[in-house]
Amino acid sequence: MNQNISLGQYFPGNSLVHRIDPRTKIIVSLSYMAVVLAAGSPLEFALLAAFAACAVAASGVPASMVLRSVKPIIPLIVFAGAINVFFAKGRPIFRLWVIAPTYEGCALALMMSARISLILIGGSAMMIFTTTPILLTDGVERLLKPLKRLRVPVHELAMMMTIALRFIPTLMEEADKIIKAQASRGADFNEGKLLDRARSFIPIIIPLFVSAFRRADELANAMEARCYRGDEGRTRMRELRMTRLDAMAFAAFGLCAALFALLKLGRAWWGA
Amino acid sequence: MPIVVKNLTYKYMRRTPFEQEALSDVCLEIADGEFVGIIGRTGSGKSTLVQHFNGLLKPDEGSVTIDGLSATGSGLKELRRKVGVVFQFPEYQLFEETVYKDIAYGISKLGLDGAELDRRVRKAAGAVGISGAMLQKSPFELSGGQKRRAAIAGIFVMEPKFLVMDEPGSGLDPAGREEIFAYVSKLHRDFGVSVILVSHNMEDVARYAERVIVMSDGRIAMDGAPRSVFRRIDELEGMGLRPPDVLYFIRALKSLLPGIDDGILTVGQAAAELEKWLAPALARVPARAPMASAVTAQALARASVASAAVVAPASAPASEAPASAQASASAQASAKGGAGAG
Repeated sequence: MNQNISLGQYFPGNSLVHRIDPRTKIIVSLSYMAVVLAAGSPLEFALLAAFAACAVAASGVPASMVLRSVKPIIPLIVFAGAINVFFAKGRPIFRLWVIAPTYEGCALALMMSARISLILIGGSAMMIFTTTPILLTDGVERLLKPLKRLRVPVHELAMMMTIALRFIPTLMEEADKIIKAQASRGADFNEGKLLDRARSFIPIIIPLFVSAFRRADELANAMEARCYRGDEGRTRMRELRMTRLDAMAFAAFGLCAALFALLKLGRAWWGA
Repeated sequence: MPIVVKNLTYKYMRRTPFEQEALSDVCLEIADGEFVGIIGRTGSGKSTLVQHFNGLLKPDEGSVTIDGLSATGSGLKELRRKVGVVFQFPEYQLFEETVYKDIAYGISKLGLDGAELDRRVRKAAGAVGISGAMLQKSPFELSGGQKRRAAIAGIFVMEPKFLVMDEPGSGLDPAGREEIFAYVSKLHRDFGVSVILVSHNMEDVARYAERVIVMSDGRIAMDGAPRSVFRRIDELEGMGLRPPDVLYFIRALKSLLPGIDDGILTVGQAAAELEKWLAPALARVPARAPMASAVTAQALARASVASAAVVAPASAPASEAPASAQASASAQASAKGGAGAG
């Protein structure tokens, strides 16, 4: 049933992007997102789109799959776009009573759509599609390690995140099974009034919760049986290591950011 | 009207790199009132196949028709009323406040209430051995085996025309298993319910099914009477399956008694066949008083001792000794395991 959700799905492979250290990927894609937020002209967007396209190409993930990750938020883009088109101040294209779309509004709407799409594509292609969730949390843990001095339980938070990520597919599978079982007993999830429909989920939610708690219990036992006792003295199976590839990734992004800054400066110069 | 499956193909995770063909070009017809066992190693497509029988999965190619209803059409509710599916580990689907309400869930969805609902709930509960007092408990207070029974009752209560059971016995104690199978046989025999039993337990399939379908890699590898299917021991082993132990026993005996019927499926049949063969030799073995519950097992044990007694002096000791040792060893195993299998 949930086969078509591609946001948050790892795409197995061994491309250049797959092999980059997760820390690098996190830093680069977060910075990339920040840069996307700062972009304001078509040329700048083109530059950033080109960088994203290169990243996607290097990742070996089919472009169609990356584009599909934008699909769930299309309604948001359309809605926000429409608001911009009609409510931004500027020269109206035409006027019909109070409805007056403006040129500036259209430009704003386009820019915003580009921004959201680039953030999603950049983020998904550079991180989510090419990094296993486990590696991703490893990376986050390493990057947040300095916060431990401030008594932030970084390891515990990362462990919780790892477990949560690990159990999403398991619970999805479980939900699927329960839905099927209840459907076989005549449950109907799409009929009746809103309240009936809400009630029809009880036969799914309750067994799902019961099994989630059962699993949590079992997992806790299993962890204790293997002497898990938090961060202290814990070694890792996968040591994160930066390589030449990471240097290259930083260099590529640095180049892109430098070009971006030049464009921005240039615009300020000519615009002034 | 029967279940008709035509050229059914189904893939999991379609259009992703994880795509996997679970069923390929399956053609199958199950007549009304048949008791069919479906066996196959894990991942052979058994469960995927039966989920098509009540429209939980839609064929990617081909068609599934039950009682003239298409499993892809709009009559899903009607279809699910006709086809009851007991899933693997059905105890995880319990959710109501009381066992009674949980069993009643399906039929209350069909609009039943009052005396008729009460009658059917109590009948289904009785069939799986859930007592009146237990009905008012929370399903989460029950033991694992009781939960399983309650969940199975939740399907029985629908009184389906086709009953699909996916590993109903796994994790139950022998008595519980026996009880549930006894009721299923009764439904089959007295009310003409078609039963489709998916199981890894070859003994259960050999004992109850009238027809066995063997799945392998998403295809139907064999389809026929249990006698003819289970006889193909080597082929079954090649598909990761293992016929009931008693077939190995008979095969081992065959080298000693070439004329023995090798279409035997249960310990009881084996004992009867051996008694027939070895009647003269049996007379020489001192008979102990048989216990009522273990008659056939005892008979089998006696018969195998007798067969060893017959063969050992007559045959060349060097070549035949291992065969007869193996025979009596598996006879012991069968005698132990088959004590209740009268």
